Amino acid sequence: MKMTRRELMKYSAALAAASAIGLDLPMPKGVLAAAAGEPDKWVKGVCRYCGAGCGVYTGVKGGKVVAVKGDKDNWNKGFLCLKGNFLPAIHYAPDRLQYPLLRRGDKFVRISWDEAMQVMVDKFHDAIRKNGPDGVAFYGSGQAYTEESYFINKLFKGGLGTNNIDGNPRLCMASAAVGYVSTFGKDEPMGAYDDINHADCFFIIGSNMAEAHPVIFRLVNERKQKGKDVKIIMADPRKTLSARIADLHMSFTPGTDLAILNAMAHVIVKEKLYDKAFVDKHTIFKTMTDPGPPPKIKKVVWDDYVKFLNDYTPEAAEKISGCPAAEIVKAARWFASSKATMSFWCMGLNQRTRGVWVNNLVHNLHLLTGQICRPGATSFSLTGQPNACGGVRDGGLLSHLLPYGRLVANAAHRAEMEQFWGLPAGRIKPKPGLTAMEMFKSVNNGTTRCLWVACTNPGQSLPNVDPYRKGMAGEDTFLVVSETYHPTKTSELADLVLPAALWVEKDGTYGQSERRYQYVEKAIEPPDEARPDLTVMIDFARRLFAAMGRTEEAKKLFPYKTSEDVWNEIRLCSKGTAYDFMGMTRARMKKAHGLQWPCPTENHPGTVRRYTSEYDVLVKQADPKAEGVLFYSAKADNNRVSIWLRPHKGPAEPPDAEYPFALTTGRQIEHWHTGTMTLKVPELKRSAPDAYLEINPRDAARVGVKNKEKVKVTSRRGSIILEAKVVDVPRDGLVFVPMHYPERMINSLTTDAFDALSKQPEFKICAVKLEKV
Amino acid sequence: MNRLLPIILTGCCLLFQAQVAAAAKLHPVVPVEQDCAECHGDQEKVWFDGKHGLMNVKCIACHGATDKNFANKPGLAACRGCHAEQVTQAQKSKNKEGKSCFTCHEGHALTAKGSATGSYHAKGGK
Repeated sequence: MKMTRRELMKYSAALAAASAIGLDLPMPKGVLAAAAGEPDKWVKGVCRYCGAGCGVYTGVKGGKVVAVKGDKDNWNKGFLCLKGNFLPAIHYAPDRLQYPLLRRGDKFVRISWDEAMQVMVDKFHDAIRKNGPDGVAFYGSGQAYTEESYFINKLFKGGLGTNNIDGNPRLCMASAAVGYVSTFGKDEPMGAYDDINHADCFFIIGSNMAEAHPVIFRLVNERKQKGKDVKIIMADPRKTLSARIADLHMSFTPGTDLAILNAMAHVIVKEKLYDKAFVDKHTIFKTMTDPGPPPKIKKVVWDDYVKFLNDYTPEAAEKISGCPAAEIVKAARWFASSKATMSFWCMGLNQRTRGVWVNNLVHNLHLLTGQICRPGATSFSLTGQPNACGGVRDGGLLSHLLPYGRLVANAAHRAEMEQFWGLPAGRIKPKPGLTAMEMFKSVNNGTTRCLWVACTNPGQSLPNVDPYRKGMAGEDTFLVVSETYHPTKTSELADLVLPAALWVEKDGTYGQSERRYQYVEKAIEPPDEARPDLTVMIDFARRLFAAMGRTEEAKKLFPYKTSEDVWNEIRLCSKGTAYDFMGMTRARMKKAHGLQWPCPTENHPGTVRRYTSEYDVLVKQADPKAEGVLFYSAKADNNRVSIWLRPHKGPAEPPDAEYPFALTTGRQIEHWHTGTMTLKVPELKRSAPDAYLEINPRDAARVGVKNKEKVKVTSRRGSIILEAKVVDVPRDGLVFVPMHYPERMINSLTTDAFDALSKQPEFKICAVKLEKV
Repeated sequence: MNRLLPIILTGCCLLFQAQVAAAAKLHPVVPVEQDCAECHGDQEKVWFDGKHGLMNVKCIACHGATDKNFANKPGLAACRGCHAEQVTQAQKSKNKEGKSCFTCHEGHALTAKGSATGSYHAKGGK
């Protein structure tokens, strides 16, 4: 059944009105509510939501998704989380965008795909003619398929010659990526979920995995139940649901964890709990003498590190952080002394102005103690999106990256990619392009004339979002938004909205946190005129190049007919790099339940653990004589990885007399990101219907607010009125608000201060004041 | 007509709620901000202390929303997302009792109850 936009709006209004008085209108057939019944077939894929990458089978009946079930042969052992269980309904939301829309004044009008592509090409071509290739930009997503991200990266950096291509992983994973690169030389974890089965100590910091990565949390709990004397340390200013399985919950003042991590290192050194042989053989010491840009780095020695740590006694760290010294000592001893220690962290460390530094400090603990590159011993960053690792970090869809570990600023890497893509020398610009926040600032000041946003929702997800919303709504920049739903908080600001196929309405590859790449098979047709983003990107590229008089070049650059064609080029692009996945043919991926890179040949089983000869075939390739651990990723430092001297520094905007509370934002288990998908699922919306302010009873009493009463939350950037949820979860002086809700956007209050190294903003901490309404 | 509209709507609402109560298969209309535990605290506590509570497999997983897809007594499909093999075994059961997960599993603790031995699924549903 097709509905016009007007009919859809009328229906939605009627539905809301009826719902308000308790009536339950029937759903229009084919638009809402997945058909019930037993599926005719099950199609293998991966969950659409977080970076855990749970294997999922989609049940299809009559061309519709009617069920999902976990893949028991995948790492998730057949389990899904609460929201994964309700995936079918996201396809049948009433606000699915059915056809291209063009803004005319205050309204959107329906246009054909042909008209949409022509308008878009005209605008981009005009901007490039007048402003050069840097007059256009692309803002992508860790949710696009690898083939989509690779293609658009090739179009912009290689085809057009602009590095103004970035994406939402800049808001999410950039500090983790730069953390791995600065410590180990290359990005991505060396370990795997399998390490959970072997760890005797878990150090979980800045992650509420029970809600944000529930199926990984399930594995940790399973290990806790089965293992003898398995210890779990949870470091978080909130005592979240994750802390239910913790043996030690370390609470601290938000933003002071650098002091705690250095103090743990202090204890490990002072009590001689470190692994001297490992440190001597595999590490060097570095410090930053000048923040730059570019930062100046100096190599130092062990004695310098010990001297540096002298300032971070547990007692000194307690003064800074409020975390009891005895807990710091206990955590350090457990970390160092267990047979195998595994660390997990996520946005609590990454979304910080010192995000890279605090990532380095977690790695430091593993390197000091040799708790790395053994089963159960590893330093593991959790990922927020299903393809942030595969499509963006690995594929190079950030403004400073080229595919598979190559850098824009590296002349040899640029030359490699120019040769691989068949480009003239010098086509790829040597200067990194605009990062996420710089890109939206350039929209505000009009220097970016055309911006294409695909598969993400920056109109809600950017920090300090309101000024950037004004920029996006302005007339200086032509904003194209590829979206599944409309309106979203971004598509409502667009000049052109393109309807996108969703999840199993197209095929492609996702790569998740443990380097596992998985193929998502197409299960159903997209509705109405929605198209896969890859189809749209290829069409746009060919038309734009034709308009620029470069038709023949486009034929060579963009010869693809299917996503498999793109995938085969990607495999070749990875060949010989640390990411090598030549062995991951499409035929093999269709049968496999994910494969972990490096996977250089078709008979290679994939790599559970990197940098150790027992598991990683690339170790012997780097040095045939190597046995055990070899950090071939750190070739520039003679295969030695870096222990960093990173001093404590607090957040950009700590609480003060005027704004006495720290605000942190985060996730609920029911919802994902900006809620464009999960808030359309009736069950999830019923369970978590709206934003709230989480505050502990002591602070609530001080503010004079009771449970369920309204409270006005104000930062230096904006105000919002929320219902108080009085629970003893956040520590004193801290309040929490979930980030999912478009009607009450907490990002109107968050700060856009960002990490100087990763350019990732500090969503996790800003100062607010509270008033009872 | 405008003055009569609220009365008509209120009447419809009351009628609807009465039908809900009579049918007993639909959930009474409750405010959207109302949490399940406010009326079902005992069940919520049992659930919270069990494995599914620890893993945050919340009320909606089995019961749906109060206003959409509500199921007083959840069917097999509600468990399939995570327990597909066990559900298939139950579907093949030859007796009526075997076709419900809750014949053997406590409703909210979701542990095996009574004479259930735990070997049923281990033996492939035999």
